[in-house]
Amino acid sequence: MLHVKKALAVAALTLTVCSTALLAADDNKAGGGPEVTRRLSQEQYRQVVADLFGPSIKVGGRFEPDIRRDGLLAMGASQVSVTASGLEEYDKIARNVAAQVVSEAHRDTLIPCTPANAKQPDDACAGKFLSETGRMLYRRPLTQDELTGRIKVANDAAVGLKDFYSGLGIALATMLESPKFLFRQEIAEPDTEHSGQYRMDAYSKASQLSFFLWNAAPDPELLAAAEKGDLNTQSGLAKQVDRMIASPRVQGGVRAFFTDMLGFDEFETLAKDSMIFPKFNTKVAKDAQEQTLRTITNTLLVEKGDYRDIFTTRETFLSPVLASVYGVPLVAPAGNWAPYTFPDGDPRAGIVSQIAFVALHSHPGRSSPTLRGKAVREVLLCQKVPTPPANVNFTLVQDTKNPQYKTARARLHAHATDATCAGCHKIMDPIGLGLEAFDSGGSLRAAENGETLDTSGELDGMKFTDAAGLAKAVHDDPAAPSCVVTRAASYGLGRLPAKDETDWVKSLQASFKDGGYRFPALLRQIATSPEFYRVGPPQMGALDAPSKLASEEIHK
Amino acid sequence: MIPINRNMNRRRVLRGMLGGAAVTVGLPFLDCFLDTNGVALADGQALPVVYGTWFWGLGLNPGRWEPAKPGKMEALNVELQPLAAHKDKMNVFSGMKAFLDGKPNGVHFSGVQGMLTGTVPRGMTADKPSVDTLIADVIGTRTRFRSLEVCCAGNPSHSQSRRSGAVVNPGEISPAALYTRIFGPEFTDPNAADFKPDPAVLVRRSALTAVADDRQTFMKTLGAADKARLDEYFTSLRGLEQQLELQAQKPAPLAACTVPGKVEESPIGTEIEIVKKNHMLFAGLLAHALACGQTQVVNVAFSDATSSLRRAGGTQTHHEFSHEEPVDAVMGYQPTLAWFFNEIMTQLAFYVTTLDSIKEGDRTLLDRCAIQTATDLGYAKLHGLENMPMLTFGSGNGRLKTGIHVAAQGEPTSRLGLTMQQVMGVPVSSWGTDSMQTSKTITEIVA
Amino acid sequence: MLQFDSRRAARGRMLLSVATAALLVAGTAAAETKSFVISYLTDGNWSDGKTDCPAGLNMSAIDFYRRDLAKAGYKHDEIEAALKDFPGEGGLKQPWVPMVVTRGNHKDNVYAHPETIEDPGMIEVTGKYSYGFNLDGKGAASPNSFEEPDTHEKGVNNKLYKVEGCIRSYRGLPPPGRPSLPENLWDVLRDVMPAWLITVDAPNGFGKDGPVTITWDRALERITRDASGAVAQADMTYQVDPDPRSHNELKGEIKGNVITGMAPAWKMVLDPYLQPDISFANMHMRMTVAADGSVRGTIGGYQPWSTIYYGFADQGHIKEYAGSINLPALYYALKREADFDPDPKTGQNRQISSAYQIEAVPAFVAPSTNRTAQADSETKAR
Repeated sequence: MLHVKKALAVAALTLTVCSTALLAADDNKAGGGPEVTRRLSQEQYRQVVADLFGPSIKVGGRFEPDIRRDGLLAMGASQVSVTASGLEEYDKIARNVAAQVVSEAHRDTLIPCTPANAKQPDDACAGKFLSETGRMLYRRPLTQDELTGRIKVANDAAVGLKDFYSGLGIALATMLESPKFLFRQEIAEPDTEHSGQYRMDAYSKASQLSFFLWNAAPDPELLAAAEKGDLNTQSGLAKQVDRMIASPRVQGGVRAFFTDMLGFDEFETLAKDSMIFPKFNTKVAKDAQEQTLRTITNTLLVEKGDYRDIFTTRETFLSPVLASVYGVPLVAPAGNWAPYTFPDGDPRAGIVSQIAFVALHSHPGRSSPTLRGKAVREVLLCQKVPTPPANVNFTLVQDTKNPQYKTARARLHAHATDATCAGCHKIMDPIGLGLEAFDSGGSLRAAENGETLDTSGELDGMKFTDAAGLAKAVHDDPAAPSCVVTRAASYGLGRLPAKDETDWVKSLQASFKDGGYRFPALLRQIATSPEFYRVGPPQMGALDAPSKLASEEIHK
Repeated sequence: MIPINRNMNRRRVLRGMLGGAAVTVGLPFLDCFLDTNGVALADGQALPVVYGTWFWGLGLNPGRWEPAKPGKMEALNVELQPLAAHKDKMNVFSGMKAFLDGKPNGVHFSGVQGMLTGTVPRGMTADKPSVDTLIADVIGTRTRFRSLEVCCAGNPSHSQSRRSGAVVNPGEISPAALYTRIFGPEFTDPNAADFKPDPAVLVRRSALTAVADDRQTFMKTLGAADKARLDEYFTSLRGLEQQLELQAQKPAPLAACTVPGKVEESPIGTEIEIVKKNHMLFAGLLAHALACGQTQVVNVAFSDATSSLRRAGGTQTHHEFSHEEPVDAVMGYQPTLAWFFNEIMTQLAFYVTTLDSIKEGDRTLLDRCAIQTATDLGYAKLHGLENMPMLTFGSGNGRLKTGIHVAAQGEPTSRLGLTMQQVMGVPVSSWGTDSMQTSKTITEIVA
Repeated sequence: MLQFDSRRAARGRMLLSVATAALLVAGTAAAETKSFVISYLTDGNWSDGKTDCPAGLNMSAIDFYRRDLAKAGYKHDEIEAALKDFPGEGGLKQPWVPMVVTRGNHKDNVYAHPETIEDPGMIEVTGKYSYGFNLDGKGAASPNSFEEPDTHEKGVNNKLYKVEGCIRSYRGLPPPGRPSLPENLWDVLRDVMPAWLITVDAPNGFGKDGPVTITWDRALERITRDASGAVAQADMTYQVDPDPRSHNELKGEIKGNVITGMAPAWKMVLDPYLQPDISFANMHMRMTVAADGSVRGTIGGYQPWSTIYYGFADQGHIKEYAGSINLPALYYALKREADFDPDPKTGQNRQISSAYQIEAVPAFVAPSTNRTAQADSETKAR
């Protein structure tokens, strides 16, 4: 691997603090994939602040966009850095949060001591706060240097601003914009169980576990378990895993996973033409996501059901505006959510027919069988659709106002008949055509431009006549449960499983199937697998790679 | 530049300063703001050069934008007509293309990457910095913002500015938010009669050293790829430190600087009337920001490369029209596409007019700008990468000749990026990779 | 008018309400019920910008204040000083207010006692057309009656329109004319007041002509606006407010896509922002159902003119100057034009013919889950 060779070259020329025996190790043979250093997502940042400082601390400002890699934002997290405008924003957010924490309204509850003189520095009190808070923010105890450094920041700032609390706030803000907070690192240590291999150190394990199950930083109990070495024993690890899965907080983790997998971040920039789809307002977009997430968590966590049932269940939850888009009456308590079951035979079965799927994968002005078929393949079945060739001859797709082409099926006729198009389109369009009963806004319709719709289609040989039939086809497709297993593992790892992790993934898929596709069991199995915590040997770059920027010279 | 005492511990200095001593004690750090790359700002001579990009999606209708002859332009072709008033301050480049060298054509992607980074990537992941960041590293290091990016169609990821591969520098999508960012509480009016440095600013500046230290120790445990990402973090941190340093110092007065009125929240989306409105607000804000010395590099993305622009009540987006609308048998081009291009070029004209309307002495803000347009395709219907339209506006403080049509048939679009870097002072004689690599400056426009 | 069908492009969507989904089989005469929620309500004031007010429009508030204050004996300089920063909102003193409030006899509140001032005079509508209904049955022979602009029915009685139709802010200009004052008030009001519901029961189905029963009720919920912001969101569910004050049943008929109905008495609680309620005697309604299920129509009848007058006057000078509606003039005009229900002692008509335009969108109606036994029994007693 290129970066290992480069690191080796650098290391060979420099003093290292690590044993030379490790220089010979090759990532792959040692087991585990490449290290991933992941930036916190917006939701994770907010969750940390809420967990640490309470829900009354407001987190305002704009976060850097996350990016999607290989189907998940959780994997893009290891590709993103922090741009200049991004750091400007992190700085604003950090100062804002810190100012609230040290404010008169909050200091008594959030700061565990009082300074001797509020107008002057107090290293002892500052140290106590920064040490405890820093441990939770960096997800491990601070080193002596780190603590000393931050106490000094608080001290200098308190002198400069003539106020202990302002000074403390400045120090806290610098921690909230530090890479040690914003990025999750995987610190490797030798694996005592498997000589020659490496595993994450206890704190990295705690983070790995906590972000996976709860989408949050490790809570005090988990950190304490890490400190005691409990996470390095199978029974100690299992105890924490079971605690966390039994907790209501696992709902948040499961919701975060499916929000990522189903691509709900695209809702932020989803546009629907308000003249063509007057019902589709921003509340609909928001509620639609909530509906799908509630359907999923109800099936998987509350009813502890079969994963595949999320594709076929007619039981869901609706808000008043969603009911209006679906065209069904709904009396909800105080205008909130009420359970709703679509009648037997209704085409609205499962999450594929829900607004969050059909409206998300459509154009602003009309539906798109191709986009929907592609989404079923890529999002739900983990099957890659090749990118379209650049030199497509679009003159074949005639004028859409042509009276001959009233429905999407007719307009996409060329996809099916032209040889260059059909190769790829036949793996998408026949699926999406089954969803044509749902317009771009997600409402049920029987006709388009006056012509009755034909919603028949097929998925890999399984034929159906309507969306409920498509739902069953997805339910019965073995790729669906396999896909969610791979996604869950990738989500937790922050990368695609490496080649020598294939057996592990296969065993996860087999257990998932044998156990009746129970999602909590899958979470447990992943979280208790040693594979989940395996990493390559620690990086040997004792010196920084030479930077091109002259300004760094100045800084030193 | 006066050498900086590397041993000076900022925090030590800070104590002394805020103990009542004058701000000037800290000057050794601040000397570098006497601009040696151009002009001293203090005495009001020639103002610093400005570089910018203006991106739109889907190119133009071939045959309808290229001027008739190379050389001095007599008139503009029909799709550039909205820019007619600026004919003498702009250049048009025709015939240039993106070379794939056998790589797959990443539609709406490969072309713009070739144009702005000099490299057509192998897949759909860019891996080279865009020209504006290379230029910002030279001319943008002494302003409050190294660069400013705006995205008019509501998505920060539409920005084409990137420092390294994976992610773009996100653009502002809300004019109201941009107003607050530039002219809000942290703005220092260069023309204000009195200036009181806020002690908190220096405290914050000093505190950031601890973050820089964090990055150093953090880097030690990273692999090379992750190190590169943290390099970008460090650049961003330097940018933040610099902002604070500038905030602590009285800025030189700028006659053309006026603070615009507060901008209220406006709707954000891809519907073209909304995009136009936001673009116009952004244009005004950026012009004021430039006149007030807040930045020297501005990047505008009118829409995404795929151009999700749409008309209210319409079922198809600009992009869908580009593929689905037949070429009119009589007119010989796609009429709805022409409509969208006309709207876009009219907005580009508005942007240039806005820059041209700010008087600076006997010249205008536009005169010290060198704005480079970019687009993703030469012929949208077929994702064609031939003959990609490119324009520049302004002479960049006299560094560029204007009013010229350069017909460079079959040449790589990277020639313009190379030329712009050179006139901006980036020490580069060759730029790009594979067949996009070029060392041929477009000498016709270099003054 | 705030919204038109042209804003809603043909959707070609079939509305399926739960109750009828199973029943929509071509060819049967099965009973159908459809419900709607009112999205828009405004005074039925027709205007083409020309022929409705050939004598001109009533003057603006600053002008009639000048006139009235002069008549009340104030000197020119006093008046000009008082009106210098007219109207002077937002913290500035309003010196003209106490003067205009007592401009009748310098003592009594002229809005509570309009007869303390001489009739300032109201320019009234003299055009040919008006929305509304033939309430007195006299047809074209009815004095000062109008012709309905859409159906061309003659003998339309709408004296309220005659009175207020040449007040600038009340004129129902065609597009691109700006909305009238009542339209603006309604636009604010509809977000905060309980919605109005209409349910139509068609025993022979909506595809066939025949008799229908029409029910009006208030809802517990307010409307939700759709993505355009101008119209109520269709297919929302509303619970019926069991309060009998706003429960009305009408007999009517459906012909094609036009539904008409009548009731000897009809009342719906509204809001003092416009007027506290609309209480019709001899209520008529007509509405047209479009292909996408939306409704446009007119409701009309006689209503007590004092309710209308106090709908303005209870805010004193505020509606007077904001809408340039000379309130004493309005009082005298309403009194003069009132055309129904004479007081047995004085002979003064107590009610005035009027009409309103409505627009509505499809809705689901459900019984209230907040019913109380008392409300139920009151409903039954009615």
